[in-house]
Amino acid sequence: MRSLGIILRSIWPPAVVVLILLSLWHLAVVLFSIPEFLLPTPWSVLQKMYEQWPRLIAATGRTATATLVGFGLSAVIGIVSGSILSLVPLARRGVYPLTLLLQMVPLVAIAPMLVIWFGYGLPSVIAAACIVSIFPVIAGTLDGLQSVDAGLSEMFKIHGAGRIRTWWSLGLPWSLPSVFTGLRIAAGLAVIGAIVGEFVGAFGGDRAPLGAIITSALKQNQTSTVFAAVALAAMLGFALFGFVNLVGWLLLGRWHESAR
Amino acid sequence: MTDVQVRLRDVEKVFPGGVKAVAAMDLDLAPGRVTALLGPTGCGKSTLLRLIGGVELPTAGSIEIEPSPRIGFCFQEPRLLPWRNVRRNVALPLELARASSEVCRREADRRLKMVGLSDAADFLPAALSGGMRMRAAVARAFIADPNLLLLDEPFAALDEVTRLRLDEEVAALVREQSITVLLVTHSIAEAVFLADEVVVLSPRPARILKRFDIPFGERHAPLRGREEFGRLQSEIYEVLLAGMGDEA
Amino acid sequence: MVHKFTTRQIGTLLVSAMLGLVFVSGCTDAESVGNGAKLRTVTVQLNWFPEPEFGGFYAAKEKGIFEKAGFDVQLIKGGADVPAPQLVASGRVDFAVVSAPQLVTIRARGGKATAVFASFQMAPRAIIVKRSSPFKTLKEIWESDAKVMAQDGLVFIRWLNSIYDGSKLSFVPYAGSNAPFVDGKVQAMQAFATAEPIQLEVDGVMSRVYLVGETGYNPYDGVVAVNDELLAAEPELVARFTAAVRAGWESYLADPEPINDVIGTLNPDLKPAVLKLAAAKLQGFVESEVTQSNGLGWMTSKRWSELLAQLQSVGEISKEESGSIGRIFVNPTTKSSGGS
Repeated sequence: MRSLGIILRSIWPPAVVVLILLSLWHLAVVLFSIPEFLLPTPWSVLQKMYEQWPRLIAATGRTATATLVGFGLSAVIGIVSGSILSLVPLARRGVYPLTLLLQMVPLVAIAPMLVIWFGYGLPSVIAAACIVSIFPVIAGTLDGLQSVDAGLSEMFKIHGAGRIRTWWSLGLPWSLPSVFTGLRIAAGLAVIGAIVGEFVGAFGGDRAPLGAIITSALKQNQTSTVFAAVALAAMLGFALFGFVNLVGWLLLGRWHESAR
Repeated sequence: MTDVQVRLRDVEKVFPGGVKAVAAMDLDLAPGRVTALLGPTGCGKSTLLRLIGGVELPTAGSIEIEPSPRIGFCFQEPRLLPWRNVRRNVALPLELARASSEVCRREADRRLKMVGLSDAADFLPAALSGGMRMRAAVARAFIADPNLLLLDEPFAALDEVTRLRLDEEVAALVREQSITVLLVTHSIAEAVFLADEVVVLSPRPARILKRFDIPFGERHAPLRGREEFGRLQSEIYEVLLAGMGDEA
Repeated sequence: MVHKFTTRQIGTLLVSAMLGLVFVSGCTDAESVGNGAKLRTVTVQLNWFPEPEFGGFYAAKEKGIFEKAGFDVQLIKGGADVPAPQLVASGRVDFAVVSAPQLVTIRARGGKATAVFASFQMAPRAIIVKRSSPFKTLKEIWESDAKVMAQDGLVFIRWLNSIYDGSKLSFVPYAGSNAPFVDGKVQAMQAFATAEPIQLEVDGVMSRVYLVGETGYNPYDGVVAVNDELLAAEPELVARFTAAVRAGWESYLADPEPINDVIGTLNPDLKPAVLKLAAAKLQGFVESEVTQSNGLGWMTSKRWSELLAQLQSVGEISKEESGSIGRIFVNPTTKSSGGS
């Protein structure tokens, strides 16, 4: 019961702000007579969400699938790559600057290539989500591994632990806070990556994920639908972010603050 | 089981950058007994300990240790893994040596009992006081049944009372079994209390100024109040000071 | 007057912000020819890359027809993601080339733009397959489980879904590249009968063209829409502009070659052979019985009413929206106007 109180207490300030913003939005549309195709009212967005709920929720499910798989791949490949870069100094000096490229290349430019390489539908969208979100994970992992306490490292060396063993029992747990920072950033990016990937590579019609709904609604001047889809995408991002936070708290909550 | 003998001959250690921490050092550690290295800060005593422990390699000279030792370490920081409970921290050396989990658990519990931490076995290090963490580190140092124990200013960061208490506990522990112990410290009282032999060093690069034989038998708290204790302390202090005075 | 000015500014700001968030390509490549200070600057947003389908506009510009009518026209090239209907309805550009159904839907959602000229009397909209494809009719394609490269959301897809059973069909986005069609990754794609099939033929890929218009859905295309505020404020200007466009198209159909050269430099992906064939093919879509009597680009209320009914029947607009549209088109050279 007390934790419910805590949750409510932390929710109401942002909730109030959101309500105020929504009211201002509605007011602006009414006061300035803004046509619907330019900026719909929050109410019409909600209405459209209700009207198209089955289609929108199915689309959200598809985007969520691509996002989760892409994010999962990001997490695994990112942690493994970061670890390899940490264990092999030559690789780190040579390869790490290149991973920055992953961050720099605009996804929209390579999205059509992804479709060519991986095919329409989930594969290219997953690839897009993964590529966009992987760098923070690599950086977080590498950063954590490079900053392991020197005394602890020495202790492992003294007791004859090999590099892999040290990485597993000391490096990884030590880096978890830094890894999770990277994962939190990656969560939001994965959603964006999926949506952009869907602009170019997703199936439309009955199999449309959120990105495809957005492009098709734009063509049909259905701005309310666009907003509804965008709102759902944002919620997806929040949910993933929240999930990462939860896992982080479960793994780190007991020892992290005092350790650092 | 024969006691471990440690022999340094002409050992030199120069660090990259030209710092000569140890020069032409000859040193013998009395087998099965406690030797304290006492000297001013930076004189190289920690370096000597690390050379003996194999953490650093000498740039010249030889270090002979016979028979092949099982070494236990204790540093000034407890160096406990924050995500493991006390038991699993103490068991770490065995775990790294690939012992089974029952062996690890059993041995860890035994050592925890030895240092009086049985109740804290499931706690995380964050929940322990400084003194308790150091005890855990001591337990860990003992877990692989060491015959050579290297203690590098283990209690320097603790408060006085805890330090005195731990001195006493360790003194008893090392005398229960026959272990060759090297204690690096800059506390004269601690050296006299714990050691069978005190080696006083000059400032860097260390030379042996004088060796003191400490004839006391069992080491209990009242020992510190005895007249001979105080006298030895003063003598050692004189030598130490004279050694430092030479520098100036 | 102040109120209207505010709407336009807000509209511009909001369009920029909203579209900036969602859209990617901002290919606005303004080509300005301004010389005389007396020329009135006018912006025209095209809804695809430079091609013969906009031949009349390029001709009017190159041949000085716009200039003679007193205009300095900026032809802004479009692409897959450029929201031409929104841009003209919000007043960001003066004129835009859109398709008739797009104009209807944007009016239904509060956009204020009116049609003044219809380049294509016959909709060039088609679905094409490779000549080697096993499909023999549009119905066959639509009722198969093929992958079609098409911009989902275009009305003709809903139309085809209403007359055929498209439940097994899947759609992938069409962003302007023919590659997936050529590589066989998709079995059919949307096209303009005067564009993609010719490009493919010149590249050695033969295709079969199925005109959507032959299934009964034949809206105007290449429709020039004007922002309503401009139309209300300066009807004379709009009429002059429309006349210039008409003259431009006449010129282009009569002598397309020099204009094709210009288009070729603007869009190097189009080879001269393609341009030549396309210009020839366009004639059949631009001209009709109506245009013989009234001039190119002429629109009738019958065609627009028909379109409204069709859009209602496929659920693109509701009955209420249909009633709220108001006057969709006007033929500015005469003073008579069409109804809804």
